[in-house]
Amino acid sequence: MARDEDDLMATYHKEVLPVFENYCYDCHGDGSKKGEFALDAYQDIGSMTAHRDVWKRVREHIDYRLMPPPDEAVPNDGERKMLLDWIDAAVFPTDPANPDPGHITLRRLNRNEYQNTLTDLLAARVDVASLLPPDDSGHGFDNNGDVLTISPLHMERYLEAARTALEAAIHPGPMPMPKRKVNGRDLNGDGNRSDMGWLLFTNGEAATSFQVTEAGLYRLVVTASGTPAMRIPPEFELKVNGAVVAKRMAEKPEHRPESFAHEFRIDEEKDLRVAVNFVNDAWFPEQSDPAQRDRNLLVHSITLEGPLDGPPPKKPASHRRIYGEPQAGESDAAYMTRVLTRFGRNAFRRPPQDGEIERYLAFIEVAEKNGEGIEHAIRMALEAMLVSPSFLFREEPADGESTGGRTLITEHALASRLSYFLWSSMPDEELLALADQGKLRAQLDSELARMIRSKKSEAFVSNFAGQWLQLRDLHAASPSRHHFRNFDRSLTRDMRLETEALFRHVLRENLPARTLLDADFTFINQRLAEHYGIPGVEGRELRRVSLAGTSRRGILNHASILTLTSYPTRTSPVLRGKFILENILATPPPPPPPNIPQLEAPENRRESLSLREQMERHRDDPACSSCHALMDPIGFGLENFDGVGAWREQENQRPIDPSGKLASGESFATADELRSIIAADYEPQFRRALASKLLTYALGRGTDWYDRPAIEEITLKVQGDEARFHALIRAVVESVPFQYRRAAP
Amino acid sequence: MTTMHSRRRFLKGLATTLALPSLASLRAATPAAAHPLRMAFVYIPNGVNLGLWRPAGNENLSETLGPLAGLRDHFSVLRGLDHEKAFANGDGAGDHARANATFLTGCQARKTSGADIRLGVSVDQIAAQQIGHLTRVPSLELSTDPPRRSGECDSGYSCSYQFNLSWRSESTPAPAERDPRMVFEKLFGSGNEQQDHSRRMRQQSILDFVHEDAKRLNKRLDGSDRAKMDEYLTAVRDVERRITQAEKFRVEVPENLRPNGVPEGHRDHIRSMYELMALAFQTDTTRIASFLLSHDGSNRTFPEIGVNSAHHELSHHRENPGNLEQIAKIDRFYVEQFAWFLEKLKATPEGDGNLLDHSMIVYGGGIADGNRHNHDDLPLLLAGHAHGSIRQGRVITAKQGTPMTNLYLSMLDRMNVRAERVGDSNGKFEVIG
Repeated sequence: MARDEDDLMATYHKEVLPVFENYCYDCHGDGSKKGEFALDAYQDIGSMTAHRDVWKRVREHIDYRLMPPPDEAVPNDGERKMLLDWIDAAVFPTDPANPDPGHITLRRLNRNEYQNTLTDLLAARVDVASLLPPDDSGHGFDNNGDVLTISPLHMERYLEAARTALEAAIHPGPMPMPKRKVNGRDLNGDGNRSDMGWLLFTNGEAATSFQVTEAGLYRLVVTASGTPAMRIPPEFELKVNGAVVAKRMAEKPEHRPESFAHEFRIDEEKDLRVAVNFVNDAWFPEQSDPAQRDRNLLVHSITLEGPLDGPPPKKPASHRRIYGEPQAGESDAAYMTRVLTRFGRNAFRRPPQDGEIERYLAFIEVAEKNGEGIEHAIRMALEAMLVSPSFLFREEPADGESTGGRTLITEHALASRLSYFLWSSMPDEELLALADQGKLRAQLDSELARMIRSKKSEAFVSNFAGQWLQLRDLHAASPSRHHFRNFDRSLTRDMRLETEALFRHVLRENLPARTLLDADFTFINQRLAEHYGIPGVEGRELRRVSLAGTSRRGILNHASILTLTSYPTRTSPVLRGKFILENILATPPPPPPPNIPQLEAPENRRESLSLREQMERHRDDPACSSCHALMDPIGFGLENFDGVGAWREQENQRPIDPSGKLASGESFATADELRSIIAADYEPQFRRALASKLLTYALGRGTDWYDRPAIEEITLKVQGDEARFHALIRAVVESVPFQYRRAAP
Repeated sequence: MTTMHSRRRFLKGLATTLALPSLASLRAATPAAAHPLRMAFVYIPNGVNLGLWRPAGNENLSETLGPLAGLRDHFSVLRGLDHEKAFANGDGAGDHARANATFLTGCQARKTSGADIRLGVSVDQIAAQQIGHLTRVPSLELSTDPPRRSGECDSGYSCSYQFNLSWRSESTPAPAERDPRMVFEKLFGSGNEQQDHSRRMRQQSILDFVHEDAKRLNKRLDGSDRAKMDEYLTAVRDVERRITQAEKFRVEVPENLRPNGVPEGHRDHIRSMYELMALAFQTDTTRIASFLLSHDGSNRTFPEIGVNSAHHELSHHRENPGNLEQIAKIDRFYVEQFAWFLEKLKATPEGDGNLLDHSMIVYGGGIADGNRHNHDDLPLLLAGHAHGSIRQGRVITAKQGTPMTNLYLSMLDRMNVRAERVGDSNGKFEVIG
């Protein structure tokens, strides 16, 4: 406790209560309870802390000036601050000596995590993300445990995804003959490509080639359909290297094509040219039945199978990795247990529990009933593991005794927290092995360095930076090409790549965080360089380019963020100001009062007023001015960048005036000066913003009042190190909420 | 193997079914005693241009509703219904999130960015929970929203409020599908019934197994984590039921209409969703559907109709005539697609009447005027005759202060669904009869 409860109550009666009585009790006390809320129902600290959610709203209403309503007498700024300080000390006290790690709701893997985890687990390329419903986000990120709900639709899709992924990775039962299939659409020759295959509408050939390296018996399979004329279906010759080997009729319609097989022996390595030659084209325009007028042949595919008499092909590597080989004399049950124990430890990201694996042996019987063997039984067990809650959810058990209301999480839980934080995927073998040995905490530093170096940290760039800076939304940005003639859709991709590249560079090279705000270099290709007016950059590849001689520095001048904070037809100083306050300076402006239209000026630009003049007219309204004084000057400071981030000196033939004064008093004349103020004077706020966003993302929960000490600690810890990125990540990982969980009550 | 058709082909298929209403081969799965009643809800975001939406007199037509002229005897304009719970009621900003969340639930969304999401069960899900077992699929949830945006959603509300219309429980939304191909597969399967059947059997044994897993895990959890596991268990049980239903109700697959992914244009996307909804109703694969055209607050642009500004931005029109004109264009665009859907139902015979005779469809949004963010006297249409139990072709005006949810209660009544109330309902809205 920062202050003694008696002290606090004394202050309450002397200072707080009179203000409440004066401004609030008319509606919320002395018997009136407007909106079903009576402030005087809470007369002591115990009753307030018992209803913290109510007091959060009380605090918010005071802080955001939502109450008292503007047409009533309102407390002055000093009074508001006094109330907030007292509420923080009395209702939301934090004790740095005894920190509360908070509670993370059991997290389900989100769509990205699920995709990455399956890919790593099966060591096979599987594309399942598109099967899953989109994830909602909370507190700005889509890995929020509270918001990641699970509906029947999810369950259906998890079943489907598990099946699809295993189909790609493993192959129980005997391997089929090697097979090479060429779809009709990929043939060449006469006729042309259609939706369903290759269409021959006059006599001629559709062909493809195969390279045969092994001698043996082969089978060619042609799948075709046709439309008849005068009752006669199309006829075709199958030709191999010019020689006709078979002649057939295609009698089936397009939606039920037929397959024709031809077996033959090949004695030496050679190239095969296989052609389907349509030989009886006909066209009877006068025929009364339209279905008997035009004789055409549609080739759906050509497949070469074989050698049919060679040894069966090897199972795919991903299959062998999971199944291994049964040992001599090993029973089915023992073999299956061995396979599942290893797989289960990876899938559940912890050692299997007593009896857990044995349960899966029940699938042996299920497989037997279907007439299937042990490999299929294992496959069903794998499928069940992939929809098990132990796979889909990240259980985080406590390790040992709790002290002061908190317990360390197990090393396996820590391994998962680390890997999902930096890789959006499961822990790799090294992390799991360290956790098995209980040595992960001891080697945190080197593990973090390794994890950041790993290619997998690309997921951190796209998922953390992609959401913190909202780069993911660029694909949906729709600037009007009528208003921005130099814009086209492909540009949004380059924009995203530029900001990701700078973030990646700062992360990998371990640069101070403020580099993001004031880097005098960037990563662009020709298209973006032209957009920025920087000469001498050629080609599609992004590369490092100096920004010397331009007014562009750091992400706030990247086309990506400037576009994201604009409307399709124009810039929005309000959105830009709001974005920077929220994401860069950790001081989100309060939301606008309800039922008041946003202070925007989508008015006809032909009017002689500049956007700034229009906006300033609105700032006269006291209900709006206090917040817009925070946002608008920042936004106007960026007005030299248009709605797609290109530099401009004028708008509507009038010179742009970027000058302004921040609500805190600093004046600036140009975008350059504004940026210097943010990057230098506001560096601590930026550090705190980053700390808080990183913690939110790492924990998968919103930060709350009890996290203040943790955020403060991260912010201070990295100060000496100029908030270099590794230090930031290390500080987050070492923080109490990351290392501990709240003890069970 | 399934046969995929190109988008062009799919849309051609749509045109054909519209022109040739018979499709007699698509029989309903079960010969119902009487023709079943269907219920659907279609959501339009960001309010409308009220001046052009509202009929001037007693006739149910207006400038914006023009595309419905040929259907005037089959729908009514509703006036005076409110969503009181979408107002701030002390919660401050966030009218878009609330409008979206409240529309089918009639509940006040608990203001939170994450922890302790609390809303209520939506009207469609109340129905699905009671009568969903009568069809192969209990209910359909559709959307033509683009993939989610990142960052914070509306003013301190979690994105789940703003992106989901249908809610299975007070904390679990029923996410909507945006890919017509996946919707089609959900309704009709892969086209290979034998393979689908063996997959279902396999899934059944896997679900049996994980059911047990979840119960074991539950023992190791506490508090809010248990709630997550309950959610999981509910999902498992529900899928088990769906598997049983899929086995019980077989339906012929309209293979020629199998779509091939998400169409590029917004109009085509909307129409393919309406098409699937009609198909689902026609085959009695489900009787309940909700369709989120775009989430409230959506900043979609409409280049197809020459609207290059963002919808939400425009909706703060401040009486600017240029903006109001653009909003009206969007409103009309959406009404056009709705008219297309109603025509389709009407052109599908069933018994002595048609599908529209045996349906009731609510079309509208949770904000009246985008500039004022108000949630009273909402822009609403009610279409379909519900077996003759709704008198259409009117402007139906509610008594002041009538909750929108009273209408829902009356609809549930017609569906033979017993409910004491829906959200904040305080009676039935029987003026529709």
